[in-house]
Amino acid sequence: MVSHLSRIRHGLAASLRHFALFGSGVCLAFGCAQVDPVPASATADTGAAWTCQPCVQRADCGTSWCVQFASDTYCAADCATSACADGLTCKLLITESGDSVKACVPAVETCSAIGNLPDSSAATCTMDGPDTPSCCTGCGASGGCQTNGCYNGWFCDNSACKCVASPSGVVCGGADVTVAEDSTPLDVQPMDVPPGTLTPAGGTLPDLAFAIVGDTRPALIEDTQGYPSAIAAKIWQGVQSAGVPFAVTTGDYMFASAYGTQSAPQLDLYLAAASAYAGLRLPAMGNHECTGSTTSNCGAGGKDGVTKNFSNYLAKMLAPIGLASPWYTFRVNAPDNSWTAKFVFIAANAWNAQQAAWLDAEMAKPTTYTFVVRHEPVAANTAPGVTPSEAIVKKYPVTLRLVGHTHTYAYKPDTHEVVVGNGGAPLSGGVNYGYVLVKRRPDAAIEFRAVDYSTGQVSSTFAINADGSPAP
Amino acid sequence: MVHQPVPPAELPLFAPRAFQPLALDGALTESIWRAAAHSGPFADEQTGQPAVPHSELRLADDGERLLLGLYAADEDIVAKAKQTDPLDPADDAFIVHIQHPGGTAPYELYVSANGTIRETAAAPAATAQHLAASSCAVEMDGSLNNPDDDDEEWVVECIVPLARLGAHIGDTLEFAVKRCDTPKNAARRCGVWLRRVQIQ
Repeated sequence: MVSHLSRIRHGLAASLRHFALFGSGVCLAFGCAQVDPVPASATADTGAAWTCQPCVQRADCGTSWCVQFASDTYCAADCATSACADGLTCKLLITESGDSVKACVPAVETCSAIGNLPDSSAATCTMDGPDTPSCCTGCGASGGCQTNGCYNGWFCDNSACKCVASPSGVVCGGADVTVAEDSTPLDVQPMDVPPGTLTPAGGTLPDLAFAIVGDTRPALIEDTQGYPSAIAAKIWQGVQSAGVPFAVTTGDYMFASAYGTQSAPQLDLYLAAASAYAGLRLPAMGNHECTGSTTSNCGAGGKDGVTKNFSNYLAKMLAPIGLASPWYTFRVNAPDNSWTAKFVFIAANAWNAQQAAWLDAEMAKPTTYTFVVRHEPVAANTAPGVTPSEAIVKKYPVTLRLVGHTHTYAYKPDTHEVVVGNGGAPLSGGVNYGYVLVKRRPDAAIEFRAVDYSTGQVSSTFAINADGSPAP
Repeated sequence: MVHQPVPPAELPLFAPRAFQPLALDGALTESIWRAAAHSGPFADEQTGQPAVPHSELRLADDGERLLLGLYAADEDIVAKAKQTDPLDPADDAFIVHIQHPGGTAPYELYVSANGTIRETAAAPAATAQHLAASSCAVEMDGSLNNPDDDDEEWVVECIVPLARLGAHIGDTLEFAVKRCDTPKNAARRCGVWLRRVQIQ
């Protein structure tokens, strides 16, 4: 089938134009279907009634709040000190700027349609897919539901007032498209590892098997609406299907201003997606859990101190599993101690002398397998803790470094690391979103299988021995 | 019955209005960027599939100027040509081509990862010389022109006077945006985004 992009080019070849100045040779070609424009937003006060007035900022709403509701932002009357009008309910909501407020909204997440499009009276903004009427003009101007655009893999079809599957060959929501109505069963054989006795400190397992997931965040800062929840959920569903008892995550769970309000809601979205997996999740800290900059350094002694991103990471990701420090060790052994393994979680964006001393001591403890888990790979050496941690790690035996940061999957035998950064963050390489399954083989080698999240198919495998050397 | 929607490329997006001033710093932290029209991922120039590395565009206006937010995932950020140098075709850059359907000449903006900018005006030259220039700011997470380390991304924030486009509020403009990248140990590849956008 000819892609839509190709069809545009072919059908309108006569109108091709080229970049005049810069010689890039990209054709311009557009269809000409006309639709009525979205009425300009009025800056009216909604008062106590619900009028489904879309907003971008609070100034659009007079004395009301501009709140996130039904996948968009709407003006809603304050109910902290007064009752809501009939038919509305007072809810704790997040404003467009991230503040928590009490505001009056409909009990169900729908909005009456605004605009002049067909069948708009039936419109809602739930964006649940093709079976739910959803005339996007009614959803206002904010990012989650743009007229004639795409959202979460769905195409907002104004002519039918529905969110429908993307037309064939059309890029609509990126990889989210593959999430929509994808019922392809995962082709990952469950590893059938019987549950052992695992805590965040470690435990025993009859065999070593785990998953690696890394880098789950939106492309743009503060873009909580653009959080890749659907991708992350499908990844974690795949991990769950694989039956591994624990998973290692390589960092970056948010893209939020260091002292802003969006780190907590983004972490909540991550945790909601990850809840599809019932096993133990062991997180590494990424640069986005500090300020976002690879050069940032948080925590005691760090130049960036304790940011909201950092404190929320500690509170939401580590505290619930009983961890207080972003660097820690997870040890797991065979019941008969015929093999032992340690996972040393380095926080290169919370680097200090205390962590360096801890790392040296932990690496010195002998184990059959040693996995160094750190967000940044060896080459991302602008992170404060990469070069100094490498100086320590290199003194000791290492099976493999498990890293992320680069938004792709790659095995790099020259630096003894596997990059798993394709957990939903904007891809930088040619590998699709996915995860890695790891299992100790009967010959004691460790096998890594990269899985494409959309198909469940294993896209790449490699195996190494305990000393990191290649295994057949 | 299976409903066949009108392909999105044949319908315009709507660029919303920003009511607060933009701090031109390359950080898309203002709330307007969440409300802005968004492109989604660019399409690979050869295959039509989502382009990698990922690129995307956000669009808004402030009544007098078009606001552009451009995101580029990039593991090796390269931009060597400075403002006074000839452009280097190997540099990481966005090229934004905007055509007013009623106009004769297109507007083009080139902005690279080191902030080098070139632009043309759709307005006649005699008029264009009196128009305010467009301006852009770049923020990157990574190191420029250093292939030995791994970079993450770069982001561009631009303000383009509507007068340079020969455009006014309510106009629908044809956009073609392109970004090419040379990954480590791989061939150069390009992503494009083609769409009409109405300025509100």
